Amino acid sequence: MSSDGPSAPPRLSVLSASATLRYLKIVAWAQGRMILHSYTRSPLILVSALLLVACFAPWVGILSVWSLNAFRTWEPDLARELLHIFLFAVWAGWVSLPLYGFSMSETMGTYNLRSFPVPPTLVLLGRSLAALLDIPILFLVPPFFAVLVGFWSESLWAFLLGAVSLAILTVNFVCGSLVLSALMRLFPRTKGTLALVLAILVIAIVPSVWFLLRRFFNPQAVVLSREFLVTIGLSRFFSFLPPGFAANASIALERGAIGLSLAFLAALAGSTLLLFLAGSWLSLRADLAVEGSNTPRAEEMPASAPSRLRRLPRIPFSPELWAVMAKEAALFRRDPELRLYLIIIPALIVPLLLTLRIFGEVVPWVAPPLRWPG
Amino acid sequence: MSASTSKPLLPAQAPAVKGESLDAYGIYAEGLTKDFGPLRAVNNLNLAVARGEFFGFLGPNGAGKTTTILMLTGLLRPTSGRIVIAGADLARDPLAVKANIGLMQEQPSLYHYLSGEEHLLFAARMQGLSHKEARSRTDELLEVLDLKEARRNLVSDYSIGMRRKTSLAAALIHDPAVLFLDEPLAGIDAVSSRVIKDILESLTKRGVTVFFCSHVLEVAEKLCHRVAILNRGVLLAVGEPDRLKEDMGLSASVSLEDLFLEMVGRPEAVRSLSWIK
Repeated sequence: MSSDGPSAPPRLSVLSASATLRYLKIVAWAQGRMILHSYTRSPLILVSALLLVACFAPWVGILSVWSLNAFRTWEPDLARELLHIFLFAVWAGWVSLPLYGFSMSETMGTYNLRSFPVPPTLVLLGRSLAALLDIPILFLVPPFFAVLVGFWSESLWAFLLGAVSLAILTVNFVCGSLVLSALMRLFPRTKGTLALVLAILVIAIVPSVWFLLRRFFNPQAVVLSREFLVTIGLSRFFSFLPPGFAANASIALERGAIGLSLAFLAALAGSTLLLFLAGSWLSLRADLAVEGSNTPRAEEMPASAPSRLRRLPRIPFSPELWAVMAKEAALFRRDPELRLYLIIIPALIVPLLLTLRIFGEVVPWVAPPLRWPG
Repeated sequence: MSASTSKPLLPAQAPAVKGESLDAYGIYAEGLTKDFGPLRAVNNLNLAVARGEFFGFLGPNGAGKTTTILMLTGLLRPTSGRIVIAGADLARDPLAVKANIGLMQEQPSLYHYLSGEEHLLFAARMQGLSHKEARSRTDELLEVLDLKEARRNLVSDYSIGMRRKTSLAAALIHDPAVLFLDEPLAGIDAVSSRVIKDILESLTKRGVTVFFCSHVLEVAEKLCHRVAILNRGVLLAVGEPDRLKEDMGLSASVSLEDLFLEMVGRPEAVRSLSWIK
C-alpha cells in the first residue's frame, strides 16, 4: 500500500472462521440486494414478478400438499419408488440447467469475485450459498420438504434426518450445477454439449411417444400403473447418485436401520463435498484459462456473416429479407430459452402422463384404469 | 528506479539480476508468455515498472495488452513466466497481490443489479475495509467522480462513461499500491476525464504505480513517464517517449502516434475501397 494511505486492510487470505463468516455475510448482502433489485427495478417488472409468484405459488402449494398427502397414504413400496424418482427428477433438472444456457445465481459470477483477495474455495462457497437465495430454489423447498415430511411423518429423528438431507441435497444441486457450468466454460461449443442436450431430449421424448402411441392404438393396454412402477424399479438406477443416497437414507431409517441410514447420509455429504471441490477446482481452471480465448485476432476470425451468406444457395428473396432471416435464424439457434423449452416441454409430458395415470385409478374420467397384462 | 530504456525493435528490458530485490518494482514480469491453443497471444514479455511510475502500455487491437493485464492481475494463468507485484510473487501469494492492486477493465465487470453506491460498498468490504471506512470512501469517490446524484441508480441503468467511473472508483477504493487501467478514459466526458487524470497523477506522486493501457496516444504521451509498445504479443520497445523517438531517429517534435506507427507499421497509403469510386 502507499505509505501515507490508510492502514492496510485486513486480508482474507487466512480461512479463519471470523473472516469466512464476514465474507459470506458480505456476499449474502450483495446477493440479497441484487435479487431485490432484479425484481423491483421497474414497476412493470415488479408487476410481472408478482404475477409470476401469484401463478407459481398456488402450484407450489398444491404440489406440496399433494406430496405430503401422497407420501403419507400410498403403500410403502410405491412411496419409496416415487421418492427416488421425485428426488432424482428434481436433482437432474437443477444440475442440468447450465446445459440450456442458464446457471445458478447468474448475478454473482465467480469471475468478478476472483478479483478480490479471497481464496478460490471461499469464492465458490460464497457463490454456492448465494445461489441458495435464488427464487427458483426457494420455490423448490416447500414441495421438497413436504415430500420428506410426508415420508417420515412418524418420528422426530426421521424428521430431523429429512431436514438434514434436504439441506445437503439442495447444496448438492448447486454444486452439481456449478461443476457442469465450469465444464461448459472449459469446453465451450463442443459437439459433446449438443450430444448431451440431444440425449436428454431423446430420453424425454421416446417414453412420451411410446406412451402416446400405446394409448392411441390400444386404449385398454396397460401403459403405466402403480404395480408397473414398483416392478420396473427405477430406483435401482438412481441409488448411487446423490438423490438416491438421500432417498435411501430415509428408507433405511423408515425400516429401522439407523446405522445404514447414517451411512447413506454420510455418502450424500461426501458426494456433496466432492462436487464442491470439483466445482471449485474446475471453475478456477475455467476462470484462469478461458478468459480471452474467445477474442481471436482479426486474421483468425471465422468467416464473417456476409461471406457465409454468399455461400448459401440463391433463393428468390430480396437480399435484405434473406439477411434478416439469416440473423433471426442465428439468434433462434443460440437462444438458451428455446433450448430449455425444447427439453422442458417433452420432459413435462412424462410426469404429466404419470400423474394422470396414477390419478386415473382414482378419477376414471381423467384416464381409464388400465391393467398390467398377464 | 531510473526509467531505463533499450533499443526499440529489440526485446526490451532484461530480467532482474539474480539476487536483486524485486521490492523496488511495482510490477515485474519475466518471460511472460500466454498461448491460446496454437495462438501465442503474449510472447516472452519482460517488464519492470518502478513504484510510483506512470507506465503506458500501448499497442494496436489484438496486440495482447488485455491478456497481459489479466495475467498481471492474476485473472488469467500464464503459460509460462514469473510475475511479482509490489514485492509479492503472484504464483506464491496471489491473495497478497490482489490486495495490493486495483483493476479497471476495458469492459467493466460490475454487478448490474447493484446500485453504484452498493457496488462501491461491496468492493470496499470485499477488500477488507471496515463498514465505516467503506461508507466514507464511497461517499468521497461518488462526489469526486460526479456520481453522487446517480448513486442509487442501478449500474444497469448507467451510461458507459458512468460504468467506467464506477469501475475506476472500485479499483481505487482500497488505496492499492498498483493500479491497472485498461482504456480508462474511453467514453468519459472531458470534465471527468480531467478529474481522473489529476487523480492518477496525484496517486503516482504518492508512490502508486499506474499501468495505463490506452489507444489514445496523446493522453499517454502527456501522462506517462515511460511507455511500452506491444505488437502481436511481442514487446517492441520500452522507454521514455522522447528517448524512443531519438532511438528511432525521429525528431522530438514528432508525436507519439507517429512513433507508434513507425514501430507497428504504417497502414498502406490510404487504400481505396473497391466499391467507392
